[in-house]
Amino acid sequence: MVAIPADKVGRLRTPAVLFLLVLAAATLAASFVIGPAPLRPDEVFAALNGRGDPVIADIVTQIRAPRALLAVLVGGVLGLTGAALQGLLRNPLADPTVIGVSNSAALGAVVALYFGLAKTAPLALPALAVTGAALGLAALAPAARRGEGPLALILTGVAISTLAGAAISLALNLAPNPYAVSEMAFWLLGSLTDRSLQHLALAAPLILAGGALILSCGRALDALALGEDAARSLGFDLDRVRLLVVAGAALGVGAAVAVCGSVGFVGLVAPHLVRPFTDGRPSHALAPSALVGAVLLGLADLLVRLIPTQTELRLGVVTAFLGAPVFIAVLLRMRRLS
Amino acid sequence: MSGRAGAAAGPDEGLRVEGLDVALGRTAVVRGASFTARCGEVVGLIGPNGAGKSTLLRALAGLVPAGAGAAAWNGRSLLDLAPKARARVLAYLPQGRLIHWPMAVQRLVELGRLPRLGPLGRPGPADAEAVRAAMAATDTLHLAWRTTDALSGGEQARVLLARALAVEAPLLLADEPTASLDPYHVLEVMAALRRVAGRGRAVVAVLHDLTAAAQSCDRLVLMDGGCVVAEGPPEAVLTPGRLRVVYRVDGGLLAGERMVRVRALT
Repeated sequence: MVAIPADKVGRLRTPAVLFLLVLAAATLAASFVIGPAPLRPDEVFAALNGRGDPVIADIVTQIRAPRALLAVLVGGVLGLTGAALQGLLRNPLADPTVIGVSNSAALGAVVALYFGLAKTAPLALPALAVTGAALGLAALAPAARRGEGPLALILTGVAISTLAGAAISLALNLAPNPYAVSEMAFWLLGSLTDRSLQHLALAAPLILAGGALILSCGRALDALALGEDAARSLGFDLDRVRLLVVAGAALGVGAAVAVCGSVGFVGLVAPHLVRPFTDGRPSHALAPSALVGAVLLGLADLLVRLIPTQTELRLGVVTAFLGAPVFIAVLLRMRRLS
Repeated sequence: MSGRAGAAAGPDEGLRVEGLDVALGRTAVVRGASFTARCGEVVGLIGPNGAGKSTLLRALAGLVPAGAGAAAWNGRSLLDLAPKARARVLAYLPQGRLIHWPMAVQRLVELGRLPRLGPLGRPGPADAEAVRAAMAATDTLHLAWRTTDALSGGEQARVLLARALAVEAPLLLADEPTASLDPYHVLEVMAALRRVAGRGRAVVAVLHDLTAAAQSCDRLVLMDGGCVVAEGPPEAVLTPGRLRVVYRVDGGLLAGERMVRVRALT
C-alpha cells in the first residue's frame, strides 16, 4: 500500500485522473500503430480521415479500430464493475471473474453461439451472455446476504466460476464443433483478435448502459461503507441499489464477455491501483477504476501483439500474470487484518 | 408540553412510542414498549443483554418492521415514513463501529449529509457547516485528514458519532455509543450527546454503563425481557429492587451522587 501524507488524502485524485486520461489516450493511439503490420502515425491519421492507401485504411478501420475501442470499453467496464462490486459486497477480492460472473456470461454466449441461436437472431448472443451474468450474480446472493465474511463469498464465486467453466466445456463438446478445445481457450481466457465493427456495435451500447447504471449508485456505495444499517438509515433503498448494480454489472460484463470472452483480474486489480490515490470513498474509485481498467487491458492487448509466440497469446494469460499476484497479496493482507 | 392523550399529541412533543411490538422471525423480541423522548432530552435505554433494546431502536429507525403499536415524531408516525423522509427525521448510529473501507475522517463525516443531497447535488456551505459543527461537537476536527484505520477506538467512536450528528436530524438514535471505551472517552461521548440535546434535539442512546447513564441522561428507560419495566429520572429507575430483579446484581445509586455501585447477589 502506498502511504499518503494525512493532509493529502484524496487530493491526488484530480492529477491522477488527468494522468490516467493521457495514459488511456496513449494506449489507444499505440493500439492503432502497433501490430503485425506496423503503421506510421501519419498513415493512421490519413486512413482515419478516409485518405491514403486503401489497404492501410482497411486495416485501420476494420481491424485496429474495433480492437482498440473494444479494449478500452471492455477494460473500462471490467474495472468499473470490479470497483462497484467491491463496494457493494464490501469485499476487496470481488471481481467479475473471481466471483464467477464472467464465466457465467461466457456460458450464456457459448449456448447462443453453438446452438445456432446467434445465427437466427444476432441479439441472442449478448442477450444470453447478459442473462448468464445475471444468473451468476443471483447464485451469489445467498452467500452475500448471510454476511458470513469475505472468504465465504469468494469461495462461492469460485464454485460458480468452476461450474460455469465446466458447463462451457460440456456445451462445446455436445455442439457439433471440431474446434472445441481452441474455442474453450477463447471463452475462458479471452481475446480481442479479429474483433470486427459488428462486435463493437453489439457490445458498446450495453457496456455504456451498464456503466451508467453502476455510476448512478456511487452515493449508495459510499453509504454502504458504514454497513447496511447505517446506509438504510441514510435513506437508501438497498434492494434497489443491489438491483441497479447487479443489472449494470450483468449488462456490462455480459456484453464484454459476449464479444471477447472472459478476461480475468482486470476488475480486481484496477480498484486496488486506484484506491490509494482516492479519499477512500467507494464512489471516488469508480471512474478512475474504469480508466485504469481501460489502460490495463489496452496494454495487455499490446503485449499480446508484441510478444513473439507461435500463435497469438490469449489476453487472459497476460492479465492473470498481472492479477493473480495482486489477488494473493490482498488475500494475505486481509488475513492479517482479521 | 402537550397532553398525554395519544391522539392529541402535540407538534413539539418529540418521540412518543406506544405499545410497540417487534418480532424477529417468529420470536417476539419487543412487547408493548412505550416511552417518550422530548426535544432537549437525553434518554438512556438500559437493560440486560437480550432485553430488546437494540431491536427497539432498529424498529424505530425503520430497519426491522414493527408489529402492533405506534411510534410518532411530533405527532407524525415514524413507522410508515418513506426512507428518504425518515432519514431527515432521525439519525441512527449502529452498534459495532463498522467502517468497511478506510477513508478520510472528513469524508466519513460528510456521509451524514447524503440524505440532504439531491441525486446530482453537490454539498454546499450549509453541508460544510453541518459537518464542521458535528466534528466540533465530538472534538474530532483535528482528525479531519487522518484515515479511519489509523484511529484509536475512542476516536473511531467519536468520528462515527460525528457522522450521525452531521445528518442534523432532530432525533438521534445511538446504539451503544460508549461500548468498549475507557472512562475518559465515555465521558467525552456522553458530553457530546448532551451538547446535541442542548441544541433542542432528542437523543435516545442504548447504554450499558449505568453510571454514565445516571450521570448524563435526563431520563432512563429500563427494559427487561422485551418490555419496558420502568421509565423516569435515574434515581427513580435505578432502585436496588429493580437492579436485583432485572440485572441480577445488588446495588443502587450512591446517596447524593449519580454513581451506581453494583456487586454480585449474595
